[in-house]
Amino acid sequence: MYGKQTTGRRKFGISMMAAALLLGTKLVGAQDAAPDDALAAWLGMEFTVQSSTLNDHMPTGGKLTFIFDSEENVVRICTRNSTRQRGPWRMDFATPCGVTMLFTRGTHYCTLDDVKTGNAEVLSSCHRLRTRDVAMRPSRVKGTVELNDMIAFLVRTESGKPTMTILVDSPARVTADGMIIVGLSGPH
Amino acid sequence: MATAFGASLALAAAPNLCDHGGRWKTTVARAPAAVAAYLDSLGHERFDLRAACARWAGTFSKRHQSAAANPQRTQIPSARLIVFPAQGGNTGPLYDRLRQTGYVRQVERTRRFVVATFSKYVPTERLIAIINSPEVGYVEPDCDGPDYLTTSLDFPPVVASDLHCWQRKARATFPNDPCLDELWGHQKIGWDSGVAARSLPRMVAVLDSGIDASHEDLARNVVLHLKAPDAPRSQGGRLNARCATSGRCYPHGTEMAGTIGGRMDNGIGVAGVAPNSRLLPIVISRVDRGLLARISTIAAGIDAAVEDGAEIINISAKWPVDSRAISEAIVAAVGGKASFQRLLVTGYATSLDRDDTVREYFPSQYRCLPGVIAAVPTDMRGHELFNPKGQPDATDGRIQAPGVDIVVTTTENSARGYALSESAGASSAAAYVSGAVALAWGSPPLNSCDAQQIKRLLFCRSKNSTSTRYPWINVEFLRELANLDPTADCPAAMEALGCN
Repeated sequence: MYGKQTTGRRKFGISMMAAALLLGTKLVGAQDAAPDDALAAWLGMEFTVQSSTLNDHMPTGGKLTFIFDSEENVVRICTRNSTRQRGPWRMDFATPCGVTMLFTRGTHYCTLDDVKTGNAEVLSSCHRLRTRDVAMRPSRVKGTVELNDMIAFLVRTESGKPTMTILVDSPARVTADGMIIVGLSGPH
Repeated sequence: MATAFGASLALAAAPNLCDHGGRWKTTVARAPAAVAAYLDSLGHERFDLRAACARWAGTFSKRHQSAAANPQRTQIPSARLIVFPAQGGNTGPLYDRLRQTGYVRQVERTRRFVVATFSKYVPTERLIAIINSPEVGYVEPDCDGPDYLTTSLDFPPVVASDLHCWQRKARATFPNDPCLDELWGHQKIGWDSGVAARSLPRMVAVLDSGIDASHEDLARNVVLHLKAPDAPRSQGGRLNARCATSGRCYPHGTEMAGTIGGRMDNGIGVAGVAPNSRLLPIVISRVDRGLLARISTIAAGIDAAVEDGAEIINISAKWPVDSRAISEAIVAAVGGKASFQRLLVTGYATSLDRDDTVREYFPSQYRCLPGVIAAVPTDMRGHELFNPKGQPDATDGRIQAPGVDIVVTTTENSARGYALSESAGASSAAAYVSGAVALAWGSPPLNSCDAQQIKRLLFCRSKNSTSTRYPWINVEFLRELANLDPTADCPAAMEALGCN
C-alpha cells in the first residue's frame, strides 16, 4: 500500500512537470496565482492525523501534505500511509493528491478551542480551507457515492507551530459531526 | 401527469411564529415552500422522504442526488407526513379519512396533528391528491436523522495520562466532589456551593437521549414520567421505554443531566450547577450516535414535559427546519401566558453553510419568544468578566456559557461513569444555563418569581467581557440573597438586586 501510494505521487509529480514544460509559455504568460501569506506556513509540510473521531473517514496516524496548485489556485492534499496508521486512506484520499480545497482568508487564525466550541460566528472569521464534495469512505448505500463537506481550520499552537483542525460534515450538512486534529509530523 | 401542487420556493425567512407575534400563522400554503416545490417537481417519480427533508432543510446536495438516482428503489423510505387538519377541523375526521385512503400503512393521532406513514407504492399523484383534500390544512415531512442531529461534536478519546479527577479520592472540604476544581465553568459563572446547597428543587426536563438513573451522581434526582403517557407504538414510546433511564443508549442526555443537576457533596465525580434539581428524562434522540428522532417525537416530547410539570425544558439539540408541529408545541410550552410558567433553554447552534454564510438552527431561532433562551458556547480562555454599564438586552435571548472541556457524567462506565467532553459546544452551554435558571429560581426568595422575572434577572446580572459578543451567564449575585428576607416577594427581591 505504502509503495503504491509513493509511486502514485511520483507519477503525479512527473505529469505535473511534463505539463509545465509543455505549457511553459502559457504558464509564464498567465501569471499563476501565489498562495496567500496566511496559508504559506501550512504548505509543503507533512502533517500526521493525531486524533480522529472519524477513523473511517481519515485514519489516525495517516500522513498528509498540503501543496499549492498555482495553475488552478487550489490547495491539493497528498496523502501517504504510515506503518502506525489505524486504517488505509480511502476513496478520494487514496487518489494521488486527489482532494482539492479552496482557501478562504479570514481575519485571524482559529484556536483549537474556537473549533471545539463550534460557534460559526467565530469560525467564519478564521483562515480556512474547504472542499464541499469529497468521497472519504465507501457509501453505506450500495451503488451510491457518499460525498462529504470538509473544512480545515488553520490553527497555530501556543508555540506557533502550524496545525490544523478539520470538521467533516459539520457544519454544512448537519450529518454526523466529527473532528480531526492534524499536527506536523516529526520534529520541526 | 401528476397534479400540480402549486407553490414557489421562498427565501429563508424568520421562523413563522417569530413573524406573527408568537403564534403559528396558517397561510394558503399547504406545505413548507421547499417541500411543495419538491412535490411539484416529482412528476411520476416516487416521493423520497430523505430528499424532501434535505430540500426543506436547504441541504440538498450531490449526495442526495446520487442517492435519489440509486436504481435500488426499494431503499427509498416511505412517505411519512405530519398532517394538520384544515382550519376549524380536528384530528378525528382527518385520522379516519387517512385510514380510508387505503394507502396509509400506519397512522398516529395527537391533539394537533396526525402522523401518516404511507405505503411505499402510493403513486405520487395520489399522495398529492390526499394532501390537497379538504380535510387537510397543512403537511410537513416527519424528518429524522441523519440530517437532523444533536449539537455535540463527538470528541476524540482523551489521551492525557494524568489521573483523571473522577479517579481521585473525595476532597477534604465541602463540597467533597473530587472534580469540582476541574469544573472551570462553575468558577466562571460565579457558582457558589453554599447557594447551591440551599436552593430548592426545580423540575428540569432533559429532552435528549435519556438519563442513566443508576449513575451515582444522578440517581437521586431522576424522576420518571409523572402524568404524560407515551402514545402506544409511537417512536417516542419505544425510545422512552428503552432509553429514558436505562443508561444503555447514547450518553448525551446523561452528560447534560450531570451538568444541570449532578449530586453535590457525595464524594464522587461532579456537582451540577443546580444539584437539588429534579431531572425528567424525555427521549428525543435515537439509540445510536445521537441522531435525532422524528419531528413528531420532538413535538410530543415538548408536550410531555409540559404535562409532567417541567419548569425548565433543556433541549441540547438542533434541527434545520421551521416545523409547525414543533412550533406549536413550543408555543404551548413557553409562549404567551406559559412564558411566565416555564423557560426553554437550548444551545445557540450555528454552522457555516455551503456558501459560507452562518446558519442558526432551531430551536435556537425561537429565541424571539420571551420563554426561550439560547446559550452561546464559549471557551475558558481570557474573557475577564465585568459588570456591564447598561442592562443587557434580554429580548435577544442569547447568553454565553461554558461549552468546552467540561467534565461530564456519562454512561460509558469504563472510567467510573465520567469523561472530559472536549467539544461539548452548544449542548453543554445549554446545560449550564438550564442549571443556572434552576439554581436562581430555586433560591429563596426568588422561588416566588415567575419565569420571566428569572430570565430578566439572569440577563440583568450577567457579565460582559471585552473579547466576546454576548453577555455571560453569572450567578454570583445569588450570594446577596443571604442578606434578604427569604419570605420577601419577588419584586422586592429584584429591586434589592438592582433589577426592577
